[in-house]
Amino acid sequence: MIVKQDQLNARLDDLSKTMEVFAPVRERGRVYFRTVRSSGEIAWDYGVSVNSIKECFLPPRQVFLRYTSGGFETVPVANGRPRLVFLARPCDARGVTIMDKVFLGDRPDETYAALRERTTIVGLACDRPDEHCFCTSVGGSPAGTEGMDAALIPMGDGSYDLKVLSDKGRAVFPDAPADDGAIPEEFVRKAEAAVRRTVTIPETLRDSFGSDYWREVSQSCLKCGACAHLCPTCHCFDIVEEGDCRVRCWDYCQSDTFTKAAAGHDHRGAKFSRCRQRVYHKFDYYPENFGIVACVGCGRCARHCPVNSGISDLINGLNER
Amino acid sequence: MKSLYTPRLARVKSIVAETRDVRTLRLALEDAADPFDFTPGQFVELSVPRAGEATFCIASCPGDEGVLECSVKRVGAVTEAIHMLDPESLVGIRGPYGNGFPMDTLKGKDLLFVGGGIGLAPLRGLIREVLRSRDDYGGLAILYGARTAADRVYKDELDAWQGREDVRTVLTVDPGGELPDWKGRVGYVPDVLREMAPKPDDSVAVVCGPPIMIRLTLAAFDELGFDPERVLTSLELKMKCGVGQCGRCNVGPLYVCKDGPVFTCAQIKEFMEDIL
Repeated sequence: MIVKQDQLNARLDDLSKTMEVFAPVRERGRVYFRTVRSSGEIAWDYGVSVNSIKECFLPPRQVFLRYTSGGFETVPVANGRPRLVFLARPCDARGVTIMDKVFLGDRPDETYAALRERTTIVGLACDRPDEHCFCTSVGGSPAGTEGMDAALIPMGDGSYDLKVLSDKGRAVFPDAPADDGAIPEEFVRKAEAAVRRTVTIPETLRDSFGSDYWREVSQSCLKCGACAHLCPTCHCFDIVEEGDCRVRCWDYCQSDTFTKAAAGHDHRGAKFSRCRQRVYHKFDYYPENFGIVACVGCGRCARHCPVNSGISDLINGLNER
Repeated sequence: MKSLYTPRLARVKSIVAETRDVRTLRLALEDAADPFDFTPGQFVELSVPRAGEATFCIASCPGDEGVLECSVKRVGAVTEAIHMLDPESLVGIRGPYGNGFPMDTLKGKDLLFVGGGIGLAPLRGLIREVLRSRDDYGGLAILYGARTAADRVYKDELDAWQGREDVRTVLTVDPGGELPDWKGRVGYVPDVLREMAPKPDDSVAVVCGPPIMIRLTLAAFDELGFDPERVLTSLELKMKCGVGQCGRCNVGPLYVCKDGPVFTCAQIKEFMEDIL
């Protein structure tokens, strides 16, 4: 169904009366996913946001226990309103499905499941990849709809082809037809051709585990964690005490405290072994456990790395040896 | 909503000071109606409000009526807080987590338990379980080493094991760690193991201790001709969630908390340098 941006804005303003809406917002020239109150705040013309939508499901800081005189009291997930993630790029929506395998597996995480359950994801097919994007090398597509409840395909004239993909999507767009056909092939072809960076994951990655390569390429890493925090699939977390609360917060495998035990032993104390861990977790271990790589090719790790060392360069550099 | 991370409450029934920095807590769950089923080798997350949560193996065995025991070495903030607890204090407990020892695989085999320091804790639950059904197993041997004679944990139980004719118990301390009245061996665990020269035959070895000891002991078993499938170890990497989600105990495709903590040497060989 073809809809105009004005119609979508009107629909969004209507939905925001009952739903909490997360959407791309431009702040000082950069685009971030933020809570918005009206459609006027939305940056429709963005490429890839600085932060990913993972924080809608795994917030950077989440209080989940409060201490009482009687012991521990579980803190429910903040407010029970239904939520809408609006204009998620295909890479970000796909990232959520990769986190699902971790958090909704044999021991589901209740807070993640609750946030996931009450959130509808409306995606926006991508017609503006930049030089860091490589989604087509890792099983994704700028026209992909994995993880989306509804998808919008930009027609280039300010209108969008709206596809409803799930019951949640239908609840948001009740007027859209049920079976509205596939995404136009012409769009898919053009969009995929626009993704120029390619990454070839070596089939024999495991053979390079002991390679000196990891020592060489990790030297410049600042262990700042920007790559992990902005990554739509990095999901490692810490559990810490904050006064009367127990809090879950993001953590990352490059950190000096990530694997350091209280008694001092650190089984991944060397920087190169942490750099290698990040690459292997995404391209070897996760695939062995779940059948797909844990990278969606969004390019954030390269785009925001202070020393210009994104994961695509790490993989390609290994291939060039 | 009850979260995966909401601990149950357990009361400290008694505390044994094992060494100058190790205490064993006997814990009983407050809601005893909801039983706490576990296998030797599994672990729990113990919490002290405002201090935090940390991982401890269960040092007792399932038949120990209504209680479970954890031995805690004072090394950081959480263990410090646990050491401050008095009997009748409440702690939080989550679990049990992990796979535990493969009891069916161990049945009928000659078993050799090799422990170092507080690494005897998970083995203790297993040894108790095995001794409770002594006839189900072949020959039993225990090799236990500590830095000094005073650093040995479970001293009464070590004496009891030594007193049994159906268990060969060898105790050792690191060179320099002996006292004048020390009657055991003096030497590092892997060296004493080589002297004992156990035969691989129908044996299964179970190793737990500090990382350096595990690494050198696994190497010694390799030299002695043990099949890596028949050498088990319990890894004690830093963990937080206990269910394979927080990521820190990930080694190769395995999560120590979920796929372990008990592994065969064969399973972890490839990633040894990333573990120990």
